[in-house]
Amino acid sequence: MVIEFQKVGKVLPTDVKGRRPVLLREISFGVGAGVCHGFVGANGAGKSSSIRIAVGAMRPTTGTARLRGLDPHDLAARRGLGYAPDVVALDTSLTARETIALHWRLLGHRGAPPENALDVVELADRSREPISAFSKGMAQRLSLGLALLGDPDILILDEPMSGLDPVGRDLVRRIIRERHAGGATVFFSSHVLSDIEDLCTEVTVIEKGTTRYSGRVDALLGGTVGHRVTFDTRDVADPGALGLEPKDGRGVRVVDTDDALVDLLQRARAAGARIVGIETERPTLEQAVVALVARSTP
Amino acid sequence: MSAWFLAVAALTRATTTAIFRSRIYVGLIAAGALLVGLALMLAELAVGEMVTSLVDIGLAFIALVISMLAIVNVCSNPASNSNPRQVITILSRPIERSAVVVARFLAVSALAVVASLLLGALLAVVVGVIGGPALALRTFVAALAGSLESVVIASVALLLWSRLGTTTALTLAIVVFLLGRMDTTTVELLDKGTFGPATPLLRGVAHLLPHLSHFDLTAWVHGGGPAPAWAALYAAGYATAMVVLAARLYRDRDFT
Repeated sequence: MVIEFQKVGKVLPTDVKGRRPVLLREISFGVGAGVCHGFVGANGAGKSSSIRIAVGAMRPTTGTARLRGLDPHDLAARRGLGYAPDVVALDTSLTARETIALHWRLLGHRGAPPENALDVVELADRSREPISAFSKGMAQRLSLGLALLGDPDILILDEPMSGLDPVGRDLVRRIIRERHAGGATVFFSSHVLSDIEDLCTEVTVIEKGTTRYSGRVDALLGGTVGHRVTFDTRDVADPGALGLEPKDGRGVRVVDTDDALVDLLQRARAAGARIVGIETERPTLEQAVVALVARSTP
Repeated sequence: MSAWFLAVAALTRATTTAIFRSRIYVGLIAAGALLVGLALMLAELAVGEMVTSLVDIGLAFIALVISMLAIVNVCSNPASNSNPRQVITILSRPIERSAVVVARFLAVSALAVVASLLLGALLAVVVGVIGGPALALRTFVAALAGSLESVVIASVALLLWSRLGTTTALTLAIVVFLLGRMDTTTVELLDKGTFGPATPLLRGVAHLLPHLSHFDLTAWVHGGGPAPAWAALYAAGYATAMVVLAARLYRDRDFT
């Protein structure tokens, strides 16, 4: 596993009010090499705290966190790691170019960074401007550009799409897709579950500091929500008997199980209704996550 | 090791640039220049001892401004290692945390020295006009050597910042600065046993606090007192100890 959490818990030291805030209770998941893995949870669930542990900014109180099989505090674990935080935090007095140069040297390179370092986030023409002149979206793109610097083989992105306009989100999605296709391991958190469904093959869902699900996205989506059947009702004497309210010679009925579908089709045939179409609806990731959390909440 | 030096150099450069472009830095230097002007006005009130008063008040004002500059910039500067998220981004790189601490210290110390050069030169020019070039030169050297006080207090602020939040570190660093300035008085009170049974404990604490009176070189300017070399030695030893300790504490800090 490239990133591995085993029963990771994090409790902060006692604060001035005598409390010991619990950030994480028991987070377990694994991200294999070359996998695009989504990280999902409500605000305050522990996504950013987990990510901070993964990049070596925090140590777990209990359990173990590994990056490339090593303690994330180990320098070797962080070689080839690209990270972008959830909220852009850059030196606004520096220019984009100066910021790129700083991170280029922190990666251990001598000399100037590549001229095209900002091309990928479409900021090359603004590289000499101070970051204070950047919009929020531009600063976020620069933050992503820093994460991509040096062509990392592990990308850890904390809500990379938040606050971006549709064009910016599309750019981030494209970059994630390209990096993943190029063999990089991508681990990112997002509240936009359609993005995770679209980009990731695996997902971890956490709630209140505890892992609720970790595995393949399609396994979480699982079964069907229902079947939507459209009938031609022009030759049906009593559409109401089939639960239909015809309009313009057609009626629609939605059933939520396979057995109910078979029963409906048999009765429709007997009644002389012709089937125009059957659509099987799968749950979205959002529906699946909501259902998962609802099931696990006492 | 070369990677460590590379990281220190890159971070020092970025931090220096950020502080140099900040309003706090420019504002404090402007405040220092105004205080040199105020020193001249106050010195005019000291009949017959105008030059002496100008040197004494001017050097005191410069030392105060430069030390505040050091404390404020260590604890709350806009550079890349103040905001927790900026820190995490920096620390996600394959660098030792000590590089961040050392770079911050070097950047703030360098800018404190630059500020004392500027303000010391201004004071020396004013002193030179009234008291002659020899006194002006000694005043300039004293102002420059006085910047070592800011280096020491920067190292103390760094130690506090390595584990504490901005406001707490800033407040405690100012308290340490004030206590360090009163070191002579404190030692006298301890020698008299003023603090009763707490005296041994307080004496221990007083030993750990920086003795900033070493950097008051007004006596040397007027022809007496120890040479600045002693101040430089003390500053180097004390600051090194503080930076090493700060780096050790920063290594285990959690960024939540």
